[in-house]
Amino acid sequence: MLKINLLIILLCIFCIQNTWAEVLPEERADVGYHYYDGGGVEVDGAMMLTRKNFAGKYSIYGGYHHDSISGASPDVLAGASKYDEDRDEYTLGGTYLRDNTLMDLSYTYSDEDDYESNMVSFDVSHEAFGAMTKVNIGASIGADDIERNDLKSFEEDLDRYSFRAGLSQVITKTFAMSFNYEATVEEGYLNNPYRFVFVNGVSLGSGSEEYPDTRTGQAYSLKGIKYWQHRASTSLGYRFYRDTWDVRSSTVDLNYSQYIGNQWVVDVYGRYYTQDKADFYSDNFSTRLRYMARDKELSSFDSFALGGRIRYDLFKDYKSLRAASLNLAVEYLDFDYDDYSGIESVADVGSLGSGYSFDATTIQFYFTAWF
Amino acid sequence: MFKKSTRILSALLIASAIISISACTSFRLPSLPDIEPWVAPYEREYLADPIMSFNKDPLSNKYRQHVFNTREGSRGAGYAHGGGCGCN
Repeated sequence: MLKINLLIILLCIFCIQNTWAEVLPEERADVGYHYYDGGGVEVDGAMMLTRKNFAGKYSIYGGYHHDSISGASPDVLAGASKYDEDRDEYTLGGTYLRDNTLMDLSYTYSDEDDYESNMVSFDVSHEAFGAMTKVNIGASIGADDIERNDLKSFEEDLDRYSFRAGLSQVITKTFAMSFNYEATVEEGYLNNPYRFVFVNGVSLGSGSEEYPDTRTGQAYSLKGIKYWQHRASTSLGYRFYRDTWDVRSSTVDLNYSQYIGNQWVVDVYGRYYTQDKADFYSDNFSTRLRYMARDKELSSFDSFALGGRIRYDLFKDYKSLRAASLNLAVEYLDFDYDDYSGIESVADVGSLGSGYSFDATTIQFYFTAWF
Repeated sequence: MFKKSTRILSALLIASAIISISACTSFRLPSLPDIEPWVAPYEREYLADPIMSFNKDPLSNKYRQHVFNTREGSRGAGYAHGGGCGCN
């Protein structure tokens, strides 16, 4: 009943006549390079995202992301995963503006040696109450194909669905908030085909994890952003997540942005994440169970991240470009696992049950142009 | 549990379609009374500043969320969504 009432309220908000119109997203192109190093894995590659508007009400955008991956995390090292592989991700989308409503349809395709993913997303956003309120609603449907590099006969699939709804609200002249909800449903092969489990210190071999074939998750987030008179802003966000595997997590995000002179913008950001394990996770099972996982992403752990970004504005209003900038972002990440030992081979089974931690660094360098 | 979730998802997809149709046609449900905005358009200089955007660096944010999504057991609610695994 509560959900029906919520839907009616959303529909009514969408139907209110407004005096201020929604606008298309800004036309811009971002092209850059990313680098990740941590936990035995190195990932780098190119990334880009560009958007162009037409006739005041149409917009198309496209994105490309390449991951060149080397190494593997400890929980798959004893398996047969390739130590070097590439992943390419392509996104193509279109946005249509009608009065105060934006409609967006996009398709994302991702391909690597042993994993192929397709996802279609549809989102609608609408401004109401004199552009003080923005409501958005959207859904995604995805289909993935999973293979093993070392076993050509292995072929599984996974279907993914998500629904999201959100509300952004202007509170004062210098403060705005947003609330978002997202439900995700996954059905199919949810294991990692290379990971393995231990039962009483004995490895059951690569691919021995066994997960349920459905997973339903719900996430709620609340975020606020405040402008300060010294040309700065602060945003603070919190997200709560829980799912049918009993994974629960909380995430806190903090960001501070500051203009320096006329050509520099500096961001400093931090993030804390804490998670409770899935109910069928164990580093070392005492007996063989129907469902068993030793994926460290399903264990209990905390992580924090601290980073910064510097933007330098190169010029404004040059030929057909409104502006251009160079950006450098560096972030340090730390993961601390409570009940995952991180052993790399069966020779180290004496360490089962101990903790594990690793740190990582990410670097992004990219050029942005506004048309 | 899955069937219940599918029902909810279906209902919300239908709601999404209705919203789209209502936006594209002259169809209107009964409106709520107009509410005067308490922050007038000419008072939104600070809110319109790019540093007040929840997603002022879309490419960088998307990459950052991918880094977290592949290393954590949860996702969603205003955090970037996309395809792929990249989960060595």
